Amino acid sequence: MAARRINWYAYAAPQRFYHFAGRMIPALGWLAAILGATGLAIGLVFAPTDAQQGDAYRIIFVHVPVSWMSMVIYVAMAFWAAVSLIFNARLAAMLALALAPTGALMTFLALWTGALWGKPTWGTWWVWDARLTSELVLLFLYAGFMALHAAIDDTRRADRAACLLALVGVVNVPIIYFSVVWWNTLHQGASVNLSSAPSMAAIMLAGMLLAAMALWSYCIAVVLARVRILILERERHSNWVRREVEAT
Amino acid sequence: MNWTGWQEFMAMGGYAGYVWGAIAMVGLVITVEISQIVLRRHKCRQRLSVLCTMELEHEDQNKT
Repeated sequence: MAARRINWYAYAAPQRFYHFAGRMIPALGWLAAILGATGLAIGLVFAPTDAQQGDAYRIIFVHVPVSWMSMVIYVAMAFWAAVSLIFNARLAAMLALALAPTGALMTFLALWTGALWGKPTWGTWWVWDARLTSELVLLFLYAGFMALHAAIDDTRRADRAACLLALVGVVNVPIIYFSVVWWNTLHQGASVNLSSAPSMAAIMLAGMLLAAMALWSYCIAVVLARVRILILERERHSNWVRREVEAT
Repeated sequence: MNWTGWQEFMAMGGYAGYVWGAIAMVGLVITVEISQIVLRRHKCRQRLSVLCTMELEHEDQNKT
């Protein structure tokens, strides 16, 4: 018996994606809340105090998740930017546009929480090392993407220009990631990677990973909510939007 | 549990300002982001429903 093939392209239609995203958001929201509460409980209440850094290390349970998200969201943004340029797909451009504000906020949080961690442990709020500087550049790239899109009146032209910028800027993400390997940085090297055992205590790792998964769910939910608003705004002349708006 | 009481937990081994300052900012950003989206959605639907009503009136005028 032949399996029914799923037509993924069906979700490129704004109407279908709008309703699909609408169903996903509550589930993702609950997942984020539950995972987040558990992760923070483990990290702030149950994990032991660090031998070297004392309790200042507990910032790791927010710093690492927001930093990971700042990079993941940019890569996702660049991916959808590429799809929108290659396939001239409206919805892909809307997704890239919806990802930017969340990514920018995560980058700001990475810098803020990092500074608060750096002061007690390194003795400084900021240093121009490779990791911190390239993360700051990421914030400028997000801001540039949003500013460029806002500066161009024609929507589709604005999409194309901004998506091109997103693609050009994606080279910064591997620079951020490998900066601690390529350069002599104040920021420490990776404690968690795919090829070797983690160098941190299991309970700390568990709290950090739960918090990271929670933030991932939150970011997806928030981006889907934002893209739904974009869909309503851009597709406002179609009948389904009229029915959707008049339904309430 | 790592702490013997609330006081100890809030003090975070002397690093309260740094740890709670970081966590509070994360909480603030999440709150602001969600409320911005809710507000924007509300405004968008209001504006669209006004536009839809205007378009319907316009169509009715064109028919008569």
